[in-house]
Amino acid sequence: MVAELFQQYVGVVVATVAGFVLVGAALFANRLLAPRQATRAKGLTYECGMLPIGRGRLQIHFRYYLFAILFLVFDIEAVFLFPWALSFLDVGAMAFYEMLLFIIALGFGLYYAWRKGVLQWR
Amino acid sequence: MLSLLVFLPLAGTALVAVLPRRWEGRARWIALGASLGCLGIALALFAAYDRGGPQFQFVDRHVWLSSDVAPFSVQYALGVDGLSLPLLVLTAFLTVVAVLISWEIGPRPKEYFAWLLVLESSLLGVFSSLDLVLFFLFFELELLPMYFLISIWGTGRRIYSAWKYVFFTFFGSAFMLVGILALGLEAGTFDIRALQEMGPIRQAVLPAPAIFAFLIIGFGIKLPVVPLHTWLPDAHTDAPTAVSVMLAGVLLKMGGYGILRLCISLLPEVARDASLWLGAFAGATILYGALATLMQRDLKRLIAYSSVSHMGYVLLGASALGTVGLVGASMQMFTHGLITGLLFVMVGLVYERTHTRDIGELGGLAARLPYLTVVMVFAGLASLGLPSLAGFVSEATVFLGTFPRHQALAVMGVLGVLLAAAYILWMVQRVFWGEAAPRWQSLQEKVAWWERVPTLALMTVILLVGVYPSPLMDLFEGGIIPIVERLT
Amino acid sequence: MRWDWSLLAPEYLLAGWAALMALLGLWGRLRAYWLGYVAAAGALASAATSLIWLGDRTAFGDLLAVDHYTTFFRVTFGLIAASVCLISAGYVERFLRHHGEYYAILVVSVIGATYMAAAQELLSAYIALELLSFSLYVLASYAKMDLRSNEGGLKYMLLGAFSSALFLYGLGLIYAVTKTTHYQGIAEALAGDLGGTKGLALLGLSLIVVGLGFKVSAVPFHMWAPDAYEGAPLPVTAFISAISKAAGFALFLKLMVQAFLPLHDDWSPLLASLATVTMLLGNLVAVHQRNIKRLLAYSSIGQVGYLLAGIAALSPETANAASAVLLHLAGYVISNLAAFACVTVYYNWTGKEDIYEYRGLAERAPFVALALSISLFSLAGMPLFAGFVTKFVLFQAIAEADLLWLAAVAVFASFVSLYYYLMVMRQMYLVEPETRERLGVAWPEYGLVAVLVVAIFVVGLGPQPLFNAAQEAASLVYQGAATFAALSP
Repeated sequence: MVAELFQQYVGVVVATVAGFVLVGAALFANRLLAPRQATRAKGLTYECGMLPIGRGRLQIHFRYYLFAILFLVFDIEAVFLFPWALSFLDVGAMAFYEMLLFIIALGFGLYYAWRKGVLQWR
Repeated sequence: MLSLLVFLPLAGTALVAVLPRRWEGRARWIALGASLGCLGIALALFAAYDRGGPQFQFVDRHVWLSSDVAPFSVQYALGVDGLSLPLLVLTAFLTVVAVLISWEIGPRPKEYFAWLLVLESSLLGVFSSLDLVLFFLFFELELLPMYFLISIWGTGRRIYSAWKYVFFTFFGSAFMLVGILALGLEAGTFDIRALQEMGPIRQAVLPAPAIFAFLIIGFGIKLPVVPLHTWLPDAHTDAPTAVSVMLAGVLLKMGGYGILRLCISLLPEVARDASLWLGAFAGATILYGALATLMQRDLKRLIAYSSVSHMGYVLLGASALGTVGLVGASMQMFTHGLITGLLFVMVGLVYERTHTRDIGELGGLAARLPYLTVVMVFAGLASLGLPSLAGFVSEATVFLGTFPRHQALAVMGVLGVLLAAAYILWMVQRVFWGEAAPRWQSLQEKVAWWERVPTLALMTVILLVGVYPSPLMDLFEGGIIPIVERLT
Repeated sequence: MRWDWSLLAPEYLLAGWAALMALLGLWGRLRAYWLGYVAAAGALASAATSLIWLGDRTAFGDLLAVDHYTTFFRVTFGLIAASVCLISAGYVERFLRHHGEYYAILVVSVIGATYMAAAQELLSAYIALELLSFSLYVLASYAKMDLRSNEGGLKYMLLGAFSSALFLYGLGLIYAVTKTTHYQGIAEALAGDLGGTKGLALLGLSLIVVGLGFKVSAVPFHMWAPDAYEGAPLPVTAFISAISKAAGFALFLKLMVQAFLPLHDDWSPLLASLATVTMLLGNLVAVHQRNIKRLLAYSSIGQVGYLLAGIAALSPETANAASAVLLHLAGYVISNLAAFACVTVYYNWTGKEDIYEYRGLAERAPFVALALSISLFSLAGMPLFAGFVTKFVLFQAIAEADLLWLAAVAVFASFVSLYYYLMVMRQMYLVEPETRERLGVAWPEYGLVAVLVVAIFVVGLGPQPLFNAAQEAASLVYQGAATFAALSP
């Protein structure tokens, strides 16, 4: 039984190995065939064709992370909402209350984050 | 009644503990009251004990912890028989002595007396427990007060000695606990009476000799038996006087009592096989202890080593496995408690006046301290086994009991008595007679009432037991006979 | 199948209380000090609410059981959380920020712990485990400006995530073999003929054991514990040492009894050896510690060893070892909380946590010194105190399961443990204090400490009620399993 289970994975293994081999071969061929000449311009950061401004290391403000996390919360909500919408009719009223509770919990989180000043850019 | 006896000191502790700081000085009166109360109860039990009655009397029994899913129960069971009753009296008596002798203890008297009473409670508990778990509980409980008593009020390397004491004992108890667990598993109960009824052990989680050995290690450390004795000189020497008295007088007896009550009484077959081994260890203990005593320069250490030698007689008597030998062993426990107690008291009193225990520095004290000299000589004579004093009765009984079974060992024991005479007399000669050093010329003997009363009381009892031992011996015999019946 | 939503009322209460704590912290009207009391009230209320189902035996679907076992742990966890909230009150106000969230997370973690005990199938158990763990990760690194707290929290989180992965992997393998995640179904499948998949089942089982071993910090998976304990804020250390162990063993015990009892002969030696190493290493390394938190961390590793030995002694025939484990767990939790309460009180006064800083405490604060001594003696298993009775019953059960050597090791380990507990007491009672100045009096904390010390004595002297509760809880776990014990070869 378990042996069967693993046999189904043989295809995956083959595909994985083949993928590595193909990509490796392409890179290797590139290395062999392409001319190599280093110029200063080649080493520059690519900024849509313009000359780069500032330095290569860029600090992103910490606030973005908070926003990202907050966004993620609502992203997850969407992930839950789609299957919920599909099975809503089958489950009945219970589903409605459950989702209501879930959204209230999320709303509470948003309220909390708001009051803590996460949404303000200071 | 028995519960009252065991818990009266604890009540005293509680009372002492809540005493306001400004009445700290009154702690000793509470301690004295509690210990006198215990002595009264113990004597009342002694008088009320029915010598023709059942083996265990005054039984107080409650189920303490039981399980509905397994045959497992632990009881709170107290009771006394002829073996334990005299030891209870001894404990109560020596505690009174200990309280009196530490009447003017230095710092923190409140805590001191509280711990002393806890110690008494645990000792009384050990001697009256009828359940192995309760026995072990009290056996362990004694460590707590001893650790603090030695390490706070001791002298010299007191912290080292306290640690050493705790480690040896705890090491032994670890073995003992495994032995007790194995015994309890085998029988399905921890009740000593039920265990006595149980036949020989055939199929236990541990073979019976192993259980026996584990228990012997635990009790042998307490007794002490020679390779396991090294804690004793340190602990005795560095403990305060009263604690040395309790240690030598009662705590060592826990080992002897345990060997009689658990090892021999519960595992008679193994005891029969091990008789010679026990005897050999006893002989080694007696001779090694006596020889080591001869070499001591510190007065207190000398008494401590003589204790090792004397406790060897307990094991020697026990190894004979006959009525006479076992009675001798238990008598030896009782008399050694009195005599060594007195000796330690005397050493403490001498030290308080001279502030040294180095035998080389002392000398010629007899002229300066006549009362102490008389008492010390009395105690020394009792210790070396002078007829008409308590020590003679017990040692003679031990030899009588041992001779038929292990002749060579009995001879070794007699040799021990000779050595005892040597070290005691030599000590007395060096300390009390001879030329007094100039520094002792100005010594004044003032004996306070709290020094005089316990010494006189101890001397009286030693003399009494020496000339009229039969009430005590009969009582011990009543406790020993059931054990011997199982042995044969 | 019953989906009675009211069965989960204690947890609704906790969830609501968590929200309340967050809001109270947000509005900031209430002094931070009082937040601790409000949170403690919530935890107590939840423990009290759980008593409604005392004697009931119901299941919430196939997912959670609400029975004596769950109630036992609901009450235990509620009391742990309440005690920790009370310990925290002074500490959090002085040393930490974001007080409301602190209590909210603390309360939420109790929900996770409870469901670990209540779970009837592996996935619910896993989710509950994660809920508890995540709360504890946050709490461990709560002292945001303290590098040690960050380091400890990070280690805790990384190793915790790693162990969760192992647990999940094991869970997957078990599912692959048995095609179910329900404990009872697993037991049925394992009791049947496994054929060639037995090795796979054993692999899954050992992965689960390793994962849980990380969570309860059994040697050799204990590396995170001392650092996390040392770094975490003191009340959090107390909380981790109490609740993560209690909940971990709640899950461990139930899993082993209800799901894996048919493989008993295979895992018992494994757990026995784990227990041996844990007892010995935990107690021996503790001897070298200089910091009281690290000392208590290693001592709790030692305690985990005893409990593991109890689990190794589980047997298909009797529920003896199971009830002994529960009893010892309760005794350990009480003693440990008492010890941490004393340590926290001292830290609030002086900000010191090295053992030598405790010198002369007996003169400066006799009550704290005495209470700390009592709790340490109880942890060491001295007679009169809770630790003796619980250890005795546990060792007895271990010996009864033909593991006398393991009981002997446990006794030896206890012997070692007395040494380092006495070292702390030596500092408090024998060494001269730096100054003779009396430390203040902290009445609310004293009250809590007094209650815990009394509990230590109550369990030590009259353990029967607690033992009965543990037995009933354990026997219920077994009733589910008993039918399969008969099936197993």
